[in-house]
Amino acid sequence: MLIETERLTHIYSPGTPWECWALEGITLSWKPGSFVLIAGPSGSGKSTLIQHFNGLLLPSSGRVLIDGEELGSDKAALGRIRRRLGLVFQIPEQQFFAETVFDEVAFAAANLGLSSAEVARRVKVSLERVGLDYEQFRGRSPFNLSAGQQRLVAIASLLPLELEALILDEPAAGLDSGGRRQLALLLADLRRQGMTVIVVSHHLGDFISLADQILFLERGRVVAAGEVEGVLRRLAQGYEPYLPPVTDIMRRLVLRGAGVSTAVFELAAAREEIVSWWGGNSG
Amino acid sequence: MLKTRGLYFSYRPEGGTPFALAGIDLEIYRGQHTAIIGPSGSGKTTLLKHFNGLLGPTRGEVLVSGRTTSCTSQLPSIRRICAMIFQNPDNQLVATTVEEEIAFGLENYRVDPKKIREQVDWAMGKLNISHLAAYPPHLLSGGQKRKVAVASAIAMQPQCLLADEPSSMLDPDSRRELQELLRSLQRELGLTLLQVTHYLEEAALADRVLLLDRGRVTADGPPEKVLTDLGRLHAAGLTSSTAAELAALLREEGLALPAGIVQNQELVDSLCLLKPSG
Repeated sequence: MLIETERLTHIYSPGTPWECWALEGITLSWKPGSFVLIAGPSGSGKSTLIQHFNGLLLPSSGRVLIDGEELGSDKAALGRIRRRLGLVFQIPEQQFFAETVFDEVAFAAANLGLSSAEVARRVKVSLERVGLDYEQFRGRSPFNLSAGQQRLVAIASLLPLELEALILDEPAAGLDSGGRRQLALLLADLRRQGMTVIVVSHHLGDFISLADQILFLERGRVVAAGEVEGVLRRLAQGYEPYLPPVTDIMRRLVLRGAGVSTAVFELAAAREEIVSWWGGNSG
Repeated sequence: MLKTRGLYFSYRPEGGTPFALAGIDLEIYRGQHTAIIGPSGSGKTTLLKHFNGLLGPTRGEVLVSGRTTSCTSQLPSIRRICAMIFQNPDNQLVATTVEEEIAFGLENYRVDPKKIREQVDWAMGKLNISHLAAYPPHLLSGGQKRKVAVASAIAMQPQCLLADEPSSMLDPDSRRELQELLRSLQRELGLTLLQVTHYLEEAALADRVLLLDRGRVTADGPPEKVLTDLGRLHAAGLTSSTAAELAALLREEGLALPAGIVQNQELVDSLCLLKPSG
């Protein structure tokens, strides 16, 4: 799914004392099948931005285009987009309401008017895609699962819609390192199958090895955007706490005069880089 | 300060589910900063809730400054000793302004209004949020809400803070600020700080780390011990801090790094110090 914005501006409560410019003139274009990370301090406009991609919010000025079609007040067009693009909110398990995992995951699909056999098939496929065994989990209460399992069920509940794009707002919050790894594997799998994936996260390190693009916002404006290495280089100057931990270690080494690259964000790559510096003669 | 003896807890004592806490014997000392780590569902929050009596043991006993949480008449005084900061601050914000929010707990204990005023002002000063006194809490940012929650807790002048993932959902700057704030309150006021965290980089800053796995304490010691015991952490499904993981990989490559590296700067310092000059 091609996602574009042109000079997108969003103002909350315009003309009141609480007026707040949440986004100012954002222009971006993400190709179908991209994996995009959005980061930035609290209040930078990340959540506001993603709510424009399925028309939950409409621009104060500027445009949002999905596959070339502008999102506006046309209800039918919004409905079509929402069938293709799913949004996973922060702490999505707070929206659980069903008695069983099956009913939770089946809810959206059942509203599409599919046969119950087809709904059941899609629920089974969806649970297996997130790594939860269908027979073991279908009858359990979604409220009695671990935090990591709940997050996976919440994401699984969108998959029966057979979406083309998935946007997740802080999907790793509250998950342990095992849960974060499992989530990264799931997102990698969705992307392999051609889905466009957009993730808002404070912790770039959790998903950086999957990303094609990073968008870093601050107070509604773009600080850095584009391919991973370039954005990390920019963040190393003034936004150090946002760097993935591996990149931060490399940056600290460079500060001490070590001849290593800072464009490294995976453990294995850091090992190689450090071993070759250690064995070499320079710096 | 805090003590458990043979603590077992089940959410369904009649059976059917395994124990959420399965035999915990623990002593937390006054003024200590302890981080509780462990995979999801290992019992971290369940354990924390036992220390201010939100949950009571199925078997065994929990003592807070010598008072047992199994005796309901002791609970009010236990809750003044141990204040809790929950995972999601939205779940504990009730008032229409920040100062009313912070006064709420004290009002429930029928503290003298003048004294309430003093303690609320003191707590807002400590957290640098005096300028937000008349602000509606639900309009604050996530980081500010956390500070209000911490201010409400310390306004009660507790001896112990129980913090359940206080920095999840915060951006890295606010996370670091909150962490430094908790740490300085702990030192300055001599508070006992018990903190659940999923980020082992954060646990690296504590005096002591407890690893919970399936309701049992499987490691207990200073961060440089627990966070470098990668075998045990991996067995629990966790990865350690990036510095500890990378140091282990580099040692496998024959780099003679010292034991106990858990923070980024420690790794960098060791590497630069020990690198053979060419």
